[in-house]
Amino acid sequence: MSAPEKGREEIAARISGMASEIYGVPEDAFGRKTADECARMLRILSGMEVDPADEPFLPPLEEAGPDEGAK
Amino acid sequence: MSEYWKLSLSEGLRRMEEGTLGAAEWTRSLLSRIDACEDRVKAWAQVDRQGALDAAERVDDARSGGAGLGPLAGAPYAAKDIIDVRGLRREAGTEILKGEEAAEDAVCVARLRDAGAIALGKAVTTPFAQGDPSITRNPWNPERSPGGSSSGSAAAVGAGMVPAAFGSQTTGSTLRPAAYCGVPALKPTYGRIPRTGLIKVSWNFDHVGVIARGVEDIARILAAAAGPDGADHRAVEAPPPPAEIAPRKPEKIAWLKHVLDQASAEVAEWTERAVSRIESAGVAVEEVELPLSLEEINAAHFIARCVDAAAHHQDLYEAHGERLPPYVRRSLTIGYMTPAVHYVRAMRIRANFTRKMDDLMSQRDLLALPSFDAGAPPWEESTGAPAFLQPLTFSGQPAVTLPLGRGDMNLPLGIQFGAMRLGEEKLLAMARWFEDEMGWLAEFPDL
Repeated sequence: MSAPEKGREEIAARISGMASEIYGVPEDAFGRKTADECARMLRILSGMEVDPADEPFLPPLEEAGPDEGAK
Repeated sequence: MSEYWKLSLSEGLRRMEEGTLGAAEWTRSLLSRIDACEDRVKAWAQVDRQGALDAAERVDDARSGGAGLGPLAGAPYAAKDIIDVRGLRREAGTEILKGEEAAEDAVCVARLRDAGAIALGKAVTTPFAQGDPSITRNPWNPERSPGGSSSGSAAAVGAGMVPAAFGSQTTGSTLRPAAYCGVPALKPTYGRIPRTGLIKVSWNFDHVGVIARGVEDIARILAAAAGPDGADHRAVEAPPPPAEIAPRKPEKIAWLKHVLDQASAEVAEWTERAVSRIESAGVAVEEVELPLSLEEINAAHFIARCVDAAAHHQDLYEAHGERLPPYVRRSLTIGYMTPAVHYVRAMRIRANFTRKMDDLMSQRDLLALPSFDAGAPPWEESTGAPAFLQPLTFSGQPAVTLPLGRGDMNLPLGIQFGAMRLGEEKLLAMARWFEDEMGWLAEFPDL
């Protein structure tokens, strides 16, 4: 097993263990496979830029401008 | 019996006003269409035959008595089986909720009831409105998926069993099935139609959608169903758009040509041809790119949606985890596995993406892209991929799908248009122009 593959397995096992302990998610083959998918998504998310000014709320609708409607 | 089941919602309303059609007559014709093709399509979770006929007769009596009637009086529609209709079952496509009945109408259903519309029944949904396939078949090719999660809503409208239906969309669940089934649909601005009375998937991404035979019908339903709701604090305060919207030619369209790299050759060819026709009609077309890649949008949307679903359904997971269908179990499990910091990160990325999409749309009338990446998959395998629907769900901007025609395996193809938030009036006006000028209209399958 290559080092990156081993690292992925370790991350998936940690995620799976945490979800098992807190939420009772089974640490079976399903749990590990799902943890691997979750880890893949989290890696993509971690690699994305976040503007320090951004809060986790939708911008107010006023910013989108008025509805022009059909003329 | 005349083929009144072929009438669009707007055509039926006009005929009833003229006195050439009764609501009960229309309802009976639709019930006969259901009898003729439901075995093959399997679009209905429950048909309220007697309730619908009784309601239709009350409309006819009131009309003949000269009583004032609502704007949708006598118009039949279906509600996806995660949307409450008082007195009808609400099972969300799962054995776990078998036999549950709604005590109250969802707000969107109550508003249509007040407008005089008649709920013909509940349309099949995939389990808990997520990605596991339902039993419903595509009316154009029964070996293929009608899409999901609003599979029954789209298939019923596509087959001509009902002229309109409510669906819902958390990722691509209204527009994809409508496109697969060859009918137009709208996913409105996030919060435009209140979600009170729906079984939730995600507080942040659930939208009530409208599927119908024509854009004119969608506008009428949106006008009745949209507007603020005291119980849904995410419902936007803006008043509903008007019920009657005239066709309007767009001036400038943003074209996401780059996503065709991830589409099948057939979808790419049809969409490019459609955009060329728009350009030939004198509309300026400008190629643009999304502020994030489809993979990045998927990661942020997927993580946030899974966490919302896991939080909302925690009791269900603890009580029935092993009985949940695979996709539902997987998405809830991912929700439980996601650190809170990553959830907040996904929501911050969403805020930034929405702001950039607002900027992009402020300078163009519409955004164009395909409604799906490839034709409908085998019905028992999947409900299809949502990648092309995800950007406008993630941003909360309104989007419509229109049918382009049929390609391989007799399956419909579709084109999607988005607009700025609260831009439904403009979006629907331009969608009507495409119907008129491009002939992108729904057809009926032989069933």
